[in-house]
Amino acid sequence: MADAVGVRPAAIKAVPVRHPGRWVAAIVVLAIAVYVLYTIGAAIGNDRTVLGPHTGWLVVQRFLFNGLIFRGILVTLELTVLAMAVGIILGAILAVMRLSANPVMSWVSWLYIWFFRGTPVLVQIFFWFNINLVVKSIDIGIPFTSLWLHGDTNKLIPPFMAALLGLGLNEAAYMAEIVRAGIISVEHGQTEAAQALGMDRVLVMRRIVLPQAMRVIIRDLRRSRIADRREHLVRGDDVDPDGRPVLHRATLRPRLHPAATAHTVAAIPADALYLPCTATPGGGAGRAGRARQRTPLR
Amino acid sequence: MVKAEAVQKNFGRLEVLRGIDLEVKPRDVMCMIGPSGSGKSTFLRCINHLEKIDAGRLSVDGELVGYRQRGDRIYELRDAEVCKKRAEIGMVFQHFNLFPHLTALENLVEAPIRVKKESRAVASERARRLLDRVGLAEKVDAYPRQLSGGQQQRVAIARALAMQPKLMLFDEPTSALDPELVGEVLDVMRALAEDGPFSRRCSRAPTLPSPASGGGKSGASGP
Ligand SMILES: Nc1ncnc2c1ncn2[C@@H]1O[C@H](COP(=O)(O)OP(=O)(O)OP(=O)(O)O)[C@@H](O)[C@H]1O
Ligand SMILES: [Mg+2]
Repeated sequence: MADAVGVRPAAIKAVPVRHPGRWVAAIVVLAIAVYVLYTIGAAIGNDRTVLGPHTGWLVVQRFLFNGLIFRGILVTLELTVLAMAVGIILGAILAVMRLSANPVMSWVSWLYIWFFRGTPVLVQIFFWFNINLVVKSIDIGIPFTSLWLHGDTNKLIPPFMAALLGLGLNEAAYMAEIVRAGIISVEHGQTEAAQALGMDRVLVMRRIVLPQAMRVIIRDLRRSRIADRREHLVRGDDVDPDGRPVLHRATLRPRLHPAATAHTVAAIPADALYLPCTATPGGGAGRAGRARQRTPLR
Repeated sequence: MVKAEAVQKNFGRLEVLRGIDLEVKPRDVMCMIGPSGSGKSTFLRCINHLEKIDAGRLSVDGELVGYRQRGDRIYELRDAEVCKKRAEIGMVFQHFNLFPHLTALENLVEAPIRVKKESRAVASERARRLLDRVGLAEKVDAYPRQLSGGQQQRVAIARALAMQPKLMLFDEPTSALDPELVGEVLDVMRALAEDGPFSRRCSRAPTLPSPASGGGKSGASGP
């Protein structure tokens, strides 16, 4: 050891460890993939196979490239983006309200989340769709003057708006929980250190807590999105290949028009759509995300 | 600078501070030593109103902490006023509590820019000088997780100093550090105590590891 002082040791040249397990795994996975693809291909080619009658592959084939389906995709995309925007903005506000020191704010937010998470989103969409049964018109104005705005609910809330309201308001409730979980995940010492520097509540939240909460929020968001896009799809496709609302058809006349077919037709473009959206690995978690996760898990 | 008279603090039924009296004069350095759980941290947190005291009087620079006295009535301060008072008191924590999403420099300039509304140029200039002073000139752009414990704590001290506080509170700044890293932090604190930072009236109330829990560390009484 002592005689090595001042002498630079030679770089290590070693034979790397072999990993035969990786090759075995690759071959097994490849075999399974080939088998699955072959089975599906055979099923599509011959509608009398086991898969055939259940999925209605021939019907799928007939309607898959029908323009109506693509129109449905556009509506779905539009609805997804808009509902997400409503959900994120309203959800963040609800989360901050929920954690607020003001008991009224916190309680209102709790009630909202409880209600919108507790009832099925389909029911909520139905409610907005049929709001005209309950409320005929919405009137906003100043009492005892003639300054009033009048709106017929059927005109104010067309089907697209009903779907957007239903999905957006519902999503906000889930979003609020995700944002809240993110905020809570930030160590309390961070808040304390920021307060000790003289930052007020808003600054602490905006500059210190939220940027760190973003990591957890984005992670949870990605998870929830997967389930979400399927929902949008069935509801967002407002018209089925026969020109009737999918919602109507899938829920009210399941026997006349097997819902399974409509779902399969819809699910194919949906999968093509949401895979690229959800499968982007790592990234997107902002600076803190980039700063932390570097070494792969072993 | 700091004056406590019969200060009491309870957490539910647990009496943590039972009638604390003490006075710290400008440029004084005061250490509090006590066994774990005896309330050292709690007392320091009361001084910048991270905790509310239940009875007694606690004042910094002649003004009550968290309250304002008019005649013989006492009014609670608004949030904004509490924040303003806190901005004049620096605090260093046992677990550093650096902001992990910001670099060392950004940790230092955040509060001066957002709270004291300093220009970025002025704040950065002072931050660089402070980092240089605690021996971390070349770590300006490092994130906290890229620094050793001792380096993190030195950044944390610099972050507190960047607000040009008139009073510094150190809560066991070395107890989370490996023994060989304690020295570098204590050196920084000693230097601060000797030639003061930028304010003439700097007093410090470091709490050092208690003999009961700190083992060999308690001998290094520092500044
Ligand atoms: N937020 C809190 N709620 C309830 N009890 C608390 C809270 N913070 C501290 N305590 C209790 O108050 C007592 C004093 O705690 P404190 O952290 O001030 O001790 P300490 O002297 O700093 O100890 P250490 O040397 O271990 O840091 C402890 O018994 C602790 O359990
Ligand atoms: Mg303590």
